[in-house]
Amino acid sequence: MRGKTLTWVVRFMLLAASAATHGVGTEAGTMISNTATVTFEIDGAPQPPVESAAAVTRVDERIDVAVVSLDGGLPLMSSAAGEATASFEVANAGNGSEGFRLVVDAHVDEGGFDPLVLQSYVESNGVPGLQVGAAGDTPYAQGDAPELAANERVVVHVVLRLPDGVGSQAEGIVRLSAVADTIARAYGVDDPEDAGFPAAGAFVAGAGDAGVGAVVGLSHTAGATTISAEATLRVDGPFVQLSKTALAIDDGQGGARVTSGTQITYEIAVEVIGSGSVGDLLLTDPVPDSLEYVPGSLAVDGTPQDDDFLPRDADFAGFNTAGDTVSVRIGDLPAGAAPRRVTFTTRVR
Amino acid sequence: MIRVSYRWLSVVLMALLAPLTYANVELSTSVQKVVPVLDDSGQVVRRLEAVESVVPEDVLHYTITFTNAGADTVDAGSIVITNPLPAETVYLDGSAFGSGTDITFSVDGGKTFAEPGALKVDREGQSVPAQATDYTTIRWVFKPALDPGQTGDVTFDVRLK
Repeated sequence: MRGKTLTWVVRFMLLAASAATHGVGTEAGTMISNTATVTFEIDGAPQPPVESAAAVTRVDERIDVAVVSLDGGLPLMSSAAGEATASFEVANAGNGSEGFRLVVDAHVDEGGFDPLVLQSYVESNGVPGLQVGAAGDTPYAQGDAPELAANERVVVHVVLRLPDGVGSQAEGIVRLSAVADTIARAYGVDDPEDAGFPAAGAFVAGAGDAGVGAVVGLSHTAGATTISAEATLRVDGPFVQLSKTALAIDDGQGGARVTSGTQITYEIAVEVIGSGSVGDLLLTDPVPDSLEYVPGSLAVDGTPQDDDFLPRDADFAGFNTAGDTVSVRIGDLPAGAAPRRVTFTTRVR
Repeated sequence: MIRVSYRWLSVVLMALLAPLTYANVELSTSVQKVVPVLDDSGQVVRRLEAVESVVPEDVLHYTITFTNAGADTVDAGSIVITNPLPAETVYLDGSAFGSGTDITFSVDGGKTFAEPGALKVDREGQSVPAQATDYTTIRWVFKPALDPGQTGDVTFDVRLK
């Protein structure tokens, strides 16, 4: 028994080395044929050469896979909508054709939050990155394992959303595994965490391509690592985003020429992107020397404000004549909330 | 029925006549798998096993057995065994063996043979010393005479690409 166990250990090492340094290798089903020839003489007379019968060996299918994260080891930042896409590459590292079941696990018990898994896609439309829709990538459905030829690889996108109540800078992990159909069927395993994964080198008669044997590669053994890859989702920001636009330009004569006396109405939209929320947000916008503030023009989300500002007025919105600055206290603003719109009018001096 | 009997008879006759007429030396090839295992002292040792299953990176061990099945002694130094390596394999350096033989290798598909140190290959326009992975063919020259009934064998290992 001990000898048998040790055998596996050595095979493990060899397989690990080979997976790292070599490609896929001779295709499953190939016949390896060896023939020798002998020539000889009797009493100085050359005799006709004799050829041996061929020793023929059929190559079995090694089942192997390599899953890597394409996100460069950096955490994925959640977008404004709280969604992020993790991308992986699944490579058939075996020497035959094989289907791989994609298993997404967002409950990776390493602390942090569990991202919500919305949908996985198999890159299929020839355009790098995830595209969703009619001309987009193919949504992955359970039981619809992508079939990969030896050494073929495919990109898989996993769309994730942040769960509620996650704070800034928190991290969550998502893991994609690719389980070979052949192994899943033969051993009744469908998830890398299942017990029952075989030892490296285990043999399943007739389960390979065109009826050759299937040999379990290192990636499909208990505790193997290349069957899966992980991506980390980090809650970024929150970041305040300001966009200032000129809503209206009025030169007093029905036109929009900018001359002395022309009134320009600005809107500043304030929003928080990323995740979490920003507290005690104060917007200040100095009015340049070329413009003057039109008294009483300030409004927040369409609600007119008086011109008094802190500390003289409790509404924290107004025009500070000392610094020629429009000041609006926004207060707490959560990410993803509707933008707060500050409008005011200036006049060209 | 009669035709069938004749056919079988001719097969039997050929089988009987073949060794009598010219096949003084018979040649056979067999293959085993080389499995590394740890012995009790923790050393990695090679164990030869029957080939149940072969996948890329496995090591195969070939044995070529030659037997003098004729009535005459085969001349000393005249037995030359040539084995082209299967295309899907690479030779494992130092693995070729044959008691009483001189072993040479070819890097040009068996046109010329030389000892390992003398073999050159062309790489990027430069002639450089060949490596075991460049070998295409192995040749053994058996130095003694081979009397009727005597047998010998030669072996080599390859790694499946």
